[in-house]
Amino acid sequence: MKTNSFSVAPLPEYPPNTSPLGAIEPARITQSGTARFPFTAGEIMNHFRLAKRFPASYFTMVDEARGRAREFAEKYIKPGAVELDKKIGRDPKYFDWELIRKAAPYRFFSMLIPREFDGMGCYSLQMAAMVEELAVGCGGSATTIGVHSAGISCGMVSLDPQILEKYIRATAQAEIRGEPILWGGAVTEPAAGTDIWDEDFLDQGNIGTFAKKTSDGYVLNGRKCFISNGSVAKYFAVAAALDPKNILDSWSIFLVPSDTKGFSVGRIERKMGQKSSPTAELIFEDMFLPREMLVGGEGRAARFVTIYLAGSRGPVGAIGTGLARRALECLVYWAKQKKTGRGRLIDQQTIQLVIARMTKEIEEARAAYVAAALACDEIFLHIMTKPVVKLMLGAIPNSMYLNPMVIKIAKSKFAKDFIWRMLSEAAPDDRLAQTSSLATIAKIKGSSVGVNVSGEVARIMGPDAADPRWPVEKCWRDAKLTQIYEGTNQANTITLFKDTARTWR
Amino acid sequence: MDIYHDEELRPLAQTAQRFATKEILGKVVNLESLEKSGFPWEAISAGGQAGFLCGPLDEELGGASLGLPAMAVLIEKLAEGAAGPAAIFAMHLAATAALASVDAVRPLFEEMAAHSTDAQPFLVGVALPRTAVSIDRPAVPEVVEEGGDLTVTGDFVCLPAPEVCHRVLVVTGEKDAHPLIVDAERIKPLVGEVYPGSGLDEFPPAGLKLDDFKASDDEVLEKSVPARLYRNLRVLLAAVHLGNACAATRTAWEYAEERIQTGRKIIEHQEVRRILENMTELTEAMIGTVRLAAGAPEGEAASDMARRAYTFSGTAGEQVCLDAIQTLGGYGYMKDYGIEKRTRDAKSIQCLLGTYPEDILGGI
Repeated sequence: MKTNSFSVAPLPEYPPNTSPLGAIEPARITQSGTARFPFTAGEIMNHFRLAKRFPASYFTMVDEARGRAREFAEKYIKPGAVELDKKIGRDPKYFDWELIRKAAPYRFFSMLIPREFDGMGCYSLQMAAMVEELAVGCGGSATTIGVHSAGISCGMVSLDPQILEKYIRATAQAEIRGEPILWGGAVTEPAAGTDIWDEDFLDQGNIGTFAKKTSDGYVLNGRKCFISNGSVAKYFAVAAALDPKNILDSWSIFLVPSDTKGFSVGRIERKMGQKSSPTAELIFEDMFLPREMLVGGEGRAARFVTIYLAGSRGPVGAIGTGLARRALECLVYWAKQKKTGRGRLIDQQTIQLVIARMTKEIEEARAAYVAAALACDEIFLHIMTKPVVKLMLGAIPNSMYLNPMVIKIAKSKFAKDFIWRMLSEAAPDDRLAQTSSLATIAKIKGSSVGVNVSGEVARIMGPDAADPRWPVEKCWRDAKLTQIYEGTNQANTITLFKDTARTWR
Repeated sequence: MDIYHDEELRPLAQTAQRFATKEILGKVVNLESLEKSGFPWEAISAGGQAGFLCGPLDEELGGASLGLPAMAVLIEKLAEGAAGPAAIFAMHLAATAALASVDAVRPLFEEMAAHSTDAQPFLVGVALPRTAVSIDRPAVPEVVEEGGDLTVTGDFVCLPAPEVCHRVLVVTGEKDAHPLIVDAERIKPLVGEVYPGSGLDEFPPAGLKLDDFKASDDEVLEKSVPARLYRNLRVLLAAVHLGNACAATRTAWEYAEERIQTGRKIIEHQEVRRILENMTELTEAMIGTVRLAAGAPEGEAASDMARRAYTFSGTAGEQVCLDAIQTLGGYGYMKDYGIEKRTRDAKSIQCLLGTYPEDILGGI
C-alpha cells in the first residue's frame, strides 16, 4: 500500500479515467488519423476580417475606454490602493463607496449598457481594455467594476424590455446622477463550485439553490457563496434550478434586488488579496420573486452562463495582464534606481532578459484577450445589428417599454422563443465553442502571467516588494484570485479541451 | 510512521511537532496584523521553557549543543504550526549558533540561559543590510575602522524588530564583513520605516537606518561570524519554507479526500491527483535539499549549498502553497483553511533575503 507523510490515510491508486466527458468519439478523428486543430492562422485572421464589419466607433471606443480607465487608475486608485488593502484587511466589511462615486463621471458602470438605454454602448473589447488599466491600479477595483458589468450582461442577455427599462436604464441613470448602483452575479454555492459553471457537469453537481414555481412567480431557497460585490450590489443575477431531478433543463436565471424580502447577506469573506472587492455569502429564505424577475425563460441559464463566460473570461485575463504590467512597471522603475556593486541593476544582463521575457508574456496575454474579445463581440454585434433588435431598442419610445401590452408581448412564449432562436443563431454551438475556447485561453494565460510575473518580480525585489511605492506583493496576491474565479484554471482547461474536441472534424 | 527523519532526530521532530500543534497551531495563526495581534510571546515563552531557545548552547549553559541539522528539523516542525513564530525562532537560533564558538559572548549566553524561561524570554535578533533603493543611501553599508572601533552607515532590516529583542547581531554583509553585537535598547531609536508585506503577521521586521553609528571595541566580533550567520539563516529559513509546505500539502490532500465535485471526491480527478503528486514531489525535494545543506561540513561549499537550499525552497515552497490554494479553489483563497496565510508567509520569507543570488544581480 502506498503511503506518505503528507496524507492522512493510505493513498488510493491513481484514479482511472474518470473524466466526466467520457471517451472521445472516434468520429472526431480524421481518416488520416490526426485531429484537425481548430485554430489555424486562417481562422484567426477571419476574426480580424470580420472586425472590418464593426463600426468605426468600435475601435475608437477601445482607445477612449482605455484612456478613461488609465486616468482614473492614476488619479484615484493607485494613490490609495495599498492603504485600502490594509484597511479592509482589518475590517472586511469596509467598502470604499467614495471611490465608486468618483468613478461615476468615467461611466465605467454603464459600459455594456446600450446607448439607447443611456449607457456607453461598449462591448467586450472595450471592457477588457478598461479592466486591464484599472487592474494596473488595483486588482480588486478592476474586479468590482468587471463583476458589475458581468451581472448587467446577464440581466441584458434576454433583451427583456421590462428589465432593460426598469433596471438597466435605472443603473445608467444612477451613474449619471453620480450615485452608481452595483450589480453582481451569483452562481457558485458552498457545495458546488467548479462543476456549477459547466453545463456538462451541472447534473452531477451538488446544487442547493432551488426555485419553486407558484401561481404568480417563484420562491427561492438556498445559499450562494464567494459572490463578488455580494455585500454592496443592489441587483444580482442568480442561478437556481427549478427541478432537483433535472438540474440542467431547469437551470434558470433570476434577477434579485437586494431589498427583496427573504434576501440576506451572510458571511463577508476575509481574502488573501483583491480586498477592495467585497466577497460575500448570499442567503435566500423563502424569497418570493414575481414572474417578471425570471430572465429569458425557464431552463435557459446554462446557455446564458456559457455566453456570459465567453464574454467575461477574456476580461479576467485582462485583469491578470494588468497586474503583471504593474509589477513589471515597478521592476523597471526600481531597477533603474537601484545601484549595486557593479553599477545600476537595470544594466545587468539578468535583469534585462527578465524584463524582456516578462514583456513577451504580457504581450501574449494581451493578444489572447483581444482575440477572445473580438470573437465574442462578433456574436454580440450580430445580435445588436439585427433589424428587429435595432427597432426594439431604437424605435420604441421609452415610455412604451413599461406599457402592459408591450410587456405582455415581450413575456409571451412567442417573443421568448424568438429571442432564444436569435441568440442560438448568433451563437451556434460551433461558434460558441470556438469563442469560449479563446476566452478560456485568455483567462488561463492572463491569470498565469499575472501570478508568475508578479511573483518573479517580488523574488527579485526581495524586501522592497512590500514597499507601498512598488506594491508588487499586493499585485501577486491579487493575481492569484484570477486563477480561481470564473471556474478554476483546471476546470477551464477541461472546458477548453471539450470545446476544442467539439470543433474537431 | 515518520519516514522522513532518521532515528537520531526523530524524538526531536516529534517533540517539536507536539509543541507546534499545542502552542502554535490554532493559537497564533490567522492573526491579521501586528497592531491587532501583538507579538506571540506566549508561544516564544513556551518554546523557551521547552529548551528550544538555548538549543545550540552547550550543556553547561542549559543547552543541547544542537547542530544545524537538528535545528533545521526543529524549525521545520514549528513551521508546520505557523511560519511566523518559526521564523522568530529561526532568527534567534541562527544568530545564537553563529556566535556559539565566540568566547567573547559567553556572558551574553549566560544571561540568555538565565532568562530563557521568562514570560518575555531573551531573544537575539539579526540586522542584515537592506537592499536599499534610495539613491542617496549607500547600497552596501559603509564601514570606517579606527583602532578597534567601527563607524557604520547604511540601511538594514532587523528581524525581528529591536523592540522584542535583547541583543541584535548586526552584519554589514556576508563576505569580508563586520559583525557587531549591539544592545537592542541602543538601536531602538534608529528604527525607521518598514514595509513588512502582508505575510508573517507574527514576525515584525523593522527598518534600521544607521548613520555614522559608532560601535565600541567590545561590540565588534570576529569576521568569521557573518558567513556562519548567513549559512544558518538560509538553512533555517529554508526549513521554515519546508514546514510550511508540508502543512499546506497535508491540508490539500485532506481537502481533496473530502470535497465532492462533479459527483465524486476531487482526489478521484486525475488532474487534482497530478497537482497533489507534484506538490508532494516538490516538498520531498525540499526535504532533501534542506537536509543536505544542513548536514554539509562547514566551508564555502556548505555556504553555497545553503544559498541554493534557500533559493530552491523559496520558489518550491511558494509553488506548493499556490497549488494548495488551487486545490482548495475559493476556500483556499479565503481564511478558512489557513492556506492563504501560509502562501503569504511563504512569499514574505522568500523576500526576506531575496531569492535572486546576489552575484546574479551584480553584487549588491
